[in-house]
Order: sequence, then C-alpha cells, then structure tokens
Amino acid sequence: MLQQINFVKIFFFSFFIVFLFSVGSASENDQERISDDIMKIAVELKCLECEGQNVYESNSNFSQSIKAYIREELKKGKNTKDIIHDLHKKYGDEILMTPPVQANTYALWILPFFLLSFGFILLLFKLKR
Amino acid sequence: MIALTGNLLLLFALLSSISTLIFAKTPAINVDKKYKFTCLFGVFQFLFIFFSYILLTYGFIISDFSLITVWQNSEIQKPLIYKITGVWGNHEGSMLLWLLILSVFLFFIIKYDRRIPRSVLLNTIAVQTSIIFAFLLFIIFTSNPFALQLPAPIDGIGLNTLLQDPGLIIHPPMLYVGYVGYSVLFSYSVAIMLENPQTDNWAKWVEKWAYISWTALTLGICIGSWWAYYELGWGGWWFWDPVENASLLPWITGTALIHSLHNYKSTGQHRDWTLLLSLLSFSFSLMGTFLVRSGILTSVHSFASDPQRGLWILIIMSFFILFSLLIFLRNLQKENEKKDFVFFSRGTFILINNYLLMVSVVVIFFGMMYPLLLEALTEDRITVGPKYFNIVIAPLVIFIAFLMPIAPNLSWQDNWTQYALKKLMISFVITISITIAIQILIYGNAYTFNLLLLGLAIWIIIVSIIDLLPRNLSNFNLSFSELKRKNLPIMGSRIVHMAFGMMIFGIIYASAFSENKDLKMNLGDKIQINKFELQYDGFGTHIGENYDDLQVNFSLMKDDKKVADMAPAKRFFRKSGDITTEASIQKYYFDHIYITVGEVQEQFIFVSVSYKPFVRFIWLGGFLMAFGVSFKTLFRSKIIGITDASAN
Repeated sequence: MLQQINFVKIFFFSFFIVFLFSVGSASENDQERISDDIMKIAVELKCLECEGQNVYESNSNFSQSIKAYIREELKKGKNTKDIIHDLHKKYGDEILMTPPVQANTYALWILPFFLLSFGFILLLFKLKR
Repeated sequence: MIALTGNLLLLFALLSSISTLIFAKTPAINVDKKYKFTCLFGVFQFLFIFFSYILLTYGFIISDFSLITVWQNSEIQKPLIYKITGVWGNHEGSMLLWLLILSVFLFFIIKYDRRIPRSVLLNTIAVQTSIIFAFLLFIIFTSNPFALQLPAPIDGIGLNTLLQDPGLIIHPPMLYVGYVGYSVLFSYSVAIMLENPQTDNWAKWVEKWAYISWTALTLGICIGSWWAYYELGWGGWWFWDPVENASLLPWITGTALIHSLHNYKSTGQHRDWTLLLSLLSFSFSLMGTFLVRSGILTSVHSFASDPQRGLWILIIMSFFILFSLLIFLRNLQKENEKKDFVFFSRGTFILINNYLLMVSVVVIFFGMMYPLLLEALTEDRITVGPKYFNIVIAPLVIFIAFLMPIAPNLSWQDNWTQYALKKLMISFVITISITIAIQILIYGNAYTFNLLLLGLAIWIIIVSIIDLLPRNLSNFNLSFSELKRKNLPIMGSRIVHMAFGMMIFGIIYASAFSENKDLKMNLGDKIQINKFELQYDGFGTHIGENYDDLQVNFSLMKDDKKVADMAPAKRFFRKSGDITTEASIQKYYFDHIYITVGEVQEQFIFVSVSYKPFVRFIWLGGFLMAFGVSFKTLFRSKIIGITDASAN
C-alpha cells in the first residue's frame, strides 16, 4: 500500500516538474519563425469591412489599405508594437483581434481562470472531507 | 404544379403530426390502439416530409424557376450534383432538410425502439412530434420552400459560389444529423422525466443515440474544417468563427454526455446530471441553428440569414428549453446514496472530465456572446478573435489531456491496481523520452509551451496503444460474441482517445512548425520550402462547367527530381462574376504543401506557399474518432438491466 502511494506521488511530481519547465520559458522560439512582419501585424487586426476575417486573410479594400499602411510604417522603421498601437488608437478596440485587458473586458479574461480555480478548490474541499 | 403539391404535402405532414400528438396524449383509448395509431401517424409524418423533400429536389433538378427558392439559388448551367446538393445551400431548403432528419429520427424511434416500455415510448414520440410540429409551422409560415412566383423567370440567380464545392455535398447533412440526433436524446429525456422518476434502464435506451449523434457531429465538424482549409484559401482549419463555435458547443456537451452516461450505466450515479446534459446538447443544437439563421452573429457561414426568421427560431428554442428545464426541475431527484468520495476512481475522473468540458462550454459561449452583450450595454465594440479562445482553452485541454490516459485505467470503486500503475509509469517514461527527442531535434534547447501539449498528446496515444494490445483486452479464448460484447467497446473507446491525442498532436505540431512564405515569383523562379523546391512554370486556363480557371503551374521537386505538379487556381464563375481561390495541396506522408495564388500578371505572380507538418493528423484523428465510436455503437453490451461494471 505504501509503495503504491509513493508511486502516485512520484508520478505527479515528475509531471509537475515538466510542467514548470515548460511554463517557465514559454514561446521564445515561437516568435522567430515568423519572418514576415506584415503578416505578424495583419493577423492581429480585424478587417472591419468583412465578417469574421482578419486583415491578413481578407482582400477587401480596407484590408489592402491597412496592409499598405503597415508596409509604409515598417519602411519608416517603426516597430510592430507601435504600428498596432497607432492603428488601435485610430480605429478603436474593435480592430484588435484579441481584446485588450481593460475595464470592459475584465470579466471576459477572468471568468475562465476563475471557473478553473473554482473547480480546483471544490475538489480540494471534497478531498478534505 | 410542384408548388401546389409541395404545399399540400407539408400540410398533410402538419395534420399527421397533430394526429400523432392527439393519439399519443388521449387518455381514453386503450394502450394498444393508442400505440398503433401514434406510430402510424408518426410514419405518415415521415413519409409526407420525405416526399416534399424529394419534390423540392426535383424542382431544383428540372430548374423550375416558378419556385422562388429554386430561382434564387439555382441556375440552368449549374452542374447536376450542385443542383441536388444546392437544396440545402439556402435557408428554406436547409430547414426542410432539418425537418426531414427530425422525421427520419422519429421513424427510427418507431421502427427500432419497440422494446422500450409503451408509456415512455409514447411520450418520446409525442415530444419528438412536437418539435417537428414547431418546425413545420416555422417552415410553412416563414420559410416556405414552395413559395410560388408567376410567370417563371427564364434563368435563376445561382448558388453562392463558395458553396459549389464537394465539401458542401456532405458537410451540412452530416452536421444536421448530429444536431438533430440530439433531439432524440432530448425527447427521451423529457419522456423519462415525465414518466417515472424510478425508471432505471434508460441509459441503455439512449446510449446508441448519443453515439450516433456524436459520430455524425464529429464527421460534420471535420468535413467543415476540411472544407474551410482548402476552399477559403487561408490554410487555416479552425477559425473560432461563431458558427464553428455553435457546432462545437453541442459536440462538447455531447462528449460530456457520453462519459456521464457511461458512469450512470455502471454506477447509477448522477442521473439528473446526465438527463440535463442531453437537454443541453439539443438546446445548443437549436441555438446553433438560431445563431446561423438569424444572422445575429455574422460569419462566412451565414449565407442566408433573416432577422425575422431568427425571432421565430428564438421563440421555438426558448419554448423547448424552458419547457424541458421546468420538467427537469420538477423531477429533480436527491442522490439517494452518498458514497464515500474516492479521488482515484473512474467516477470521480469522469466528474472532473464533465466539469472541465462544461467550463469550456461556458467559456466558449461567453467569449462568443461577450461582444454582443458589451455592445448592447455600453456601445463599446470589441472583437474576440481566435487568440482569445486559444489562450483560454489551452489550460483546459492540458488538464483534460493529462487526465485522459489515467481515467480508463482506474476502477469504479477505488484505488489503483499495480498493473495499471506500472502501465502508466512505463508509458510516461516513454513519452518523456520521445518528447525530449522531439525537443532536441527541432527546437534546439529551449523548452516551450507547445512541447507540453505535444508531450501530453503523445502520452494519450501511447497509453491508448498499450491498452489496445491484445494482452490488455480480456481473454481471447472467449467465443466471438463474448469477445464482441467485452472487447470491442473497450477498443472503440481507446481508439477514440488515441484519435483525440492524434488530433491535438496535429493541431499543435502544424501550428507551431509550419513554414509560410508570401512572395513574388517570376517565370522559372524556384523557392525552397522545407525539403522541397518549388518552380513556377507559367499559367494556363481550364474550362469548367460553369466557371473558368486560371491555373498557375508549379513543379514540386525534391533532391532535383520532380515529385508532383501543382496547380492552384483562381476560379471565375461566369454568371455571378465571383472569383474564388482554389488551393493546391500536395500530400507528403502526414504533411501538406499548400499553395494559393494571389495576383497573377504577365511577368510575375504573387504566391503564398506553406509547409504544414503533421497537419493530416487533425482530420485523421477526427475520422478515427468517428470510427471508434461506431465500434461502441455497433457492439454495445446488449444485456439490459445488469450493472456491469467490469464490462468496460
């Protein structure tokens, strides 16, 4: 019986270690593979004329003008973050494919993690009893 | 003529469903008679709806433009196959298809479920009929496919060009079979709740419907994703588009339902929760239909939307959801036996699985509706795109994937067996080695988040394969029927788990390691992509039945030898003037080389080339999932009334 418990502990512990390692230095190489800055920016922006497409995927006038704009700005030597920031300022939150974390989206961002931890606490509570 | 007959058929169907309801619910006549007439009119409903559907198809085939639906969505020049499948490429026709599948399922209940107690069966038929009745009213009054216009125009407007594609032949019907399949579970659940709180055998009655719907929905979603992959021309396979989400929600609740049913069948626990899950699955199916048809959530899929019809579906939907929830609440049972809570038991793990799945449902639903709510309340407009969903779903998938190989190796009661532990440990060591090997081979030295998911996917696959080894299934000296009863369902579930692992592997691998190149090419130019070289050989034309293709020819070379010709194209539809992008895809083991063309000029072209490693695992996994569940459907343990914990 004792042996069994140890087994289980070791097992979970080793997983935990792997998990820590993985989270510790997440997505460094990830960014490198995208060479094309335009694409990198364009996929973050929503095409405001289309339905559910981003600027990269779409060929509408809006998207083409945005892509041209990004190209110009990149040539001027602006970096990715600034370009997105400028466009965000000009067109509002809607243009960002991923909603920014701010007052009106706290609920959106917190809920998933709240539910997950709630379940975890519930489980711990049940285990204790 | 077609219009008149069609309307009459729909009217007869309506009358039959009213008769079914009357016979099913009249207390005065004796049970045998009641049963006989209920079934008879049930079959009538099916026949009338079936013939009206055939008639509409006939209208499309002979291009009878006096029918408004045909005129709006067809043309003489359209290839025959798209005339037939074009029936469900528009609102009216697709609603008729939805209705047809509802009635086909009613027919199956009547034909194949005779062994179920009469009282339950009658209620089930009544509920199913009332759903049919509601949709019949909806079709006749708001979206009549047999609406007439005279004089008939000479040619039709034509089908949305994106939809003229082989993927459309099978995707919507499959999806609808999945959606509508949950109506059967809904009807049964309501009937069970109405009938007798102590009815116990029902898990066995509804099991096959849960499997069938899930299989169809899985196939439907997979085909849809495949269609988006090659037809929309962006090389993506999942966009977290509202309509995709709407089909994912019943799939997730359906998955939870299958597991919960398994638990209930084996231990008798969580009866109410299981019932609620079947109600939820159909509610989400209805909601999916509502969202697509109303145009509330816009997407590439809403090719036919109309707010007023949306309101009608909203009313139907609210009615059925509220009605079922009321019955549910009235019949809520207290769990009668409180067992000791044991963490390492299969029941607990299934409960955790259900919790995680329901959290993903809530999260996806919330993410989908949040922009609408926010705009309605504050007029702030935001976009919730794919990245959000990836971020919030990833942790859930990690937990699910981590628990997935463990759960089937636990017993129902408590604690581990030495053997299961050994198996998990060994597989875990193998997994870590493979994962580290992948990491060294591809990443160099840095750990990344993707590696964790890849590792978990590999773990699922390995444990499932170990479970599938003959020595781990029950004794092989059993007779074939025993074998069928005991082993095949287990094999089925392991195959599904393995397929899920493959799918995660494919998704992560293909998104993390795909190579994309967007560039300008001159004639004769070569580019390097992964191990391959791609050479641009010029362009030509190809004339199709109702379109012209501008084909761009490439030679794909490996080690200076030509491997294949590839010809992505721009497709010009003669009638509408629409242009679609036709991707060219070349297989290489489990990888894809994916080319689409942008602008084509005399001297140069703009082309987008991607190399997507292991991308085929995504659909392979999907189809394997459906295959595995069909094992479970066909070879379910047939002994009724025995709580057979050892069986699977």
